[in-house]
Amino acid sequence: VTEAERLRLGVGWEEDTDVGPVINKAALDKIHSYTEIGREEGAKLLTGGEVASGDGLGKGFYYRPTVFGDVDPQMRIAQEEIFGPTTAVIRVRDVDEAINVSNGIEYGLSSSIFTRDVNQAFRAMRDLKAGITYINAGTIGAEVHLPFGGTKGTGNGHREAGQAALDFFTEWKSIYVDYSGKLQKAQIDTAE
Amino acid sequence: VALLGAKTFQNYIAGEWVEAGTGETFETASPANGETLGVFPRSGAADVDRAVAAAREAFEEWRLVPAPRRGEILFRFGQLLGDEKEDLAQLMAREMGKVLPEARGDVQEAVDMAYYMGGEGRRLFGQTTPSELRDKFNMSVRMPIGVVGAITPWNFPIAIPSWKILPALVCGNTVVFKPATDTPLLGERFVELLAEAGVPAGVVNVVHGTGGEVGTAIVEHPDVPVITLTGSRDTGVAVTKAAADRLKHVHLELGGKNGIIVMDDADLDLAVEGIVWSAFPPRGSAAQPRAGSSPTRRSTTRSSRAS
Repeated sequence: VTEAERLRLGVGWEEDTDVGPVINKAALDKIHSYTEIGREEGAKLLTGGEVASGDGLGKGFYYRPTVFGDVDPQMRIAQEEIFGPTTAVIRVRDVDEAINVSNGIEYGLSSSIFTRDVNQAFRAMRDLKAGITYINAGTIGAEVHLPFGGTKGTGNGHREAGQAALDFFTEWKSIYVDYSGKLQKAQIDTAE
Repeated sequence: VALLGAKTFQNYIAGEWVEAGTGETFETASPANGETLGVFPRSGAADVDRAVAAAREAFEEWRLVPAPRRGEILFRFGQLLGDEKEDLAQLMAREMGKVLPEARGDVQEAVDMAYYMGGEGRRLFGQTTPSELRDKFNMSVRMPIGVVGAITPWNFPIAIPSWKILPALVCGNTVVFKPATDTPLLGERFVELLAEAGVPAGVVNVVHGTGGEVGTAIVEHPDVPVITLTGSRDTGVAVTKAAADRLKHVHLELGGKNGIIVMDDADLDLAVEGIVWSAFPPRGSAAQPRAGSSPTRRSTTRSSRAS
């Protein structure tokens, strides 16, 4: 919360800006509607939760970085993609519950675990149902030579980037060249 | 940034800048301060038709250009993008709001992809496999497919077009590209630089306009066998249905709700830094996180950011 409150909102081209605007009015309205939803669901608004104005911010579409606490995993703010600077903090008992909560959504793009316990890290690598898992890093930072994409509602099994991209943008052709000068029959001539 | 100032832009078809047949336009403004950025064609199905015809014709030559040559064009594109990185980042900050460090990263991702896929021009490996018969040689090779329809969102306005268009090109396909209506200017710059790098006329075409009009026309067009979309889940489902009758190849990258687990043994400062960077993107979005977990501390954050 302290770190979120420290972030400076502003135009993206000023070097001391931490957070820029959201893309348009519709996005701003949608993001704020999720703040209302979170409140109605009984989550605790820890910071943010409002359109930012003042210092010229009123000319653009700015939203205060927003953190909800006491969030239940089934709440809409924990389930639905808000596409804005809103985060839900969910308390869990152990790594099993954490993995279940993380998997308990319709999407499967990125996932992450912060731990110094190698056993827990490998459990997460195996069991998090997502196209990407980061260990001791946030959920951004994909590199172009690894497949990018997600499981479940995030996609349909194909991947961008990496060698996987070549599989999507080409079709395989299998070619058989017979240089024996006679008709050879696969499966038939091979029978003893 | 020189391009700003309500300039009027056009579609790019068969190597020419052309008006949309509809005569309609849409205007874009900066989400940062409301400043008008440009006026773009609001194209229709007839414009998509022209672009697809151009891409289809160009495919017959482009597929025969040796893949290493196609790769060299991508290397030049990577070089040009790198040279223009600062200008593109400044434009991105204005057109869709990202702060400069992240905007530069967005461009760098496309530079990386250009060099990576440029290198694929000398690989594109297939396989050779023994035959069960004597004096017979078997191999499997990668073949280009045809015209690729690339429909991209605003959140990574240079990086995402590069993920779609650059591998499509090195593989020998041609492209009809519809950039997001929130970031048409960057889509336009992307294609200008491709042309400058040496991509021949008709190999990449841009049609500006809405998803409902231009996107639908691309997805339903009989001569576009491959569709790649980054967008919402609802759009992905609609595209899949529309493409099903023609058995099109469809790639989808849709929503996200990225959980971050924080265990009680974690380096907390590092975790906070990682969560803040993921949850409060210096633009207003990638697919956001939810945080959660640790026996005592217990938190997962679910936030929304794509990566």
